[in-house]
Amino acid sequence: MGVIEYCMEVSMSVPAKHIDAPEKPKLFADYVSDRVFDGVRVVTDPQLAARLARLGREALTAARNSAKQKSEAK
Amino acid sequence: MKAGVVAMFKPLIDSCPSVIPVDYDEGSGAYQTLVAVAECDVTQRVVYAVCQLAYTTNYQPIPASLWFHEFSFYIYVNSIDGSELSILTQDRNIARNYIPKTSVPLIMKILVRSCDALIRRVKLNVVYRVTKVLFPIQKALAKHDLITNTMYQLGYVLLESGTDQFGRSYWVMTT
Repeated sequence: MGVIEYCMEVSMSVPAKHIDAPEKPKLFADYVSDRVFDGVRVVTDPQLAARLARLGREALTAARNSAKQKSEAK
Repeated sequence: MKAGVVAMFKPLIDSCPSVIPVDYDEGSGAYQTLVAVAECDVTQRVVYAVCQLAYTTNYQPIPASLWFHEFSFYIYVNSIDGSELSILTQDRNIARNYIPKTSVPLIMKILVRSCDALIRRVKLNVVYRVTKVLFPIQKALAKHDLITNTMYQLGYVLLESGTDQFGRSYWVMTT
């Protein structure tokens, strides 16, 4: 899909554009146009979603533990 | 989220974590850091600052470098219970909707510390970075200036910089 078609598609779609999982590794040229024109990527790739969810849980636990320690120290 | 209910994001942390763990994904070959920044008090959504170093091959004429790792950063909004869409954004105007005002200064600090953690862990020869916005104004470059300075401190020098064919500012730094 060319850049112009991509722009038209984005402008005609809802703000959140669904982008499926990239082949690995995704080449620079493949996603330049995505990066220029889209504002939001909905996480639809199950592998990416699972990975982000796992990392997210760990980060959330770390943040909550840190807040708890600070609160107990007061 | 029910109609008429306004989501409010409240801070999860009030300072930048002293240690930010780096995760490596074998599948994509990317290194990532995630720091939980805020959570929604209405929906089960958590907001994260995400930094990433990913190997890529460049087929564009600009930058001239062909192979490098790209450093990028995102705001990730994860819907824990799946009731909302989980999203990634690099757009500051969109990200602003999910970051409490008091947490905004923290994002810069997290960004710099994440960059430091990623670079120290991965020890790359060439690192590329590009702005999200086209023809960015000076204010929009503040976080990039911070990253550039962090990389200078880590021993990197500027190999290439300028504006690409899309109008985005970019930097290629090397050891």
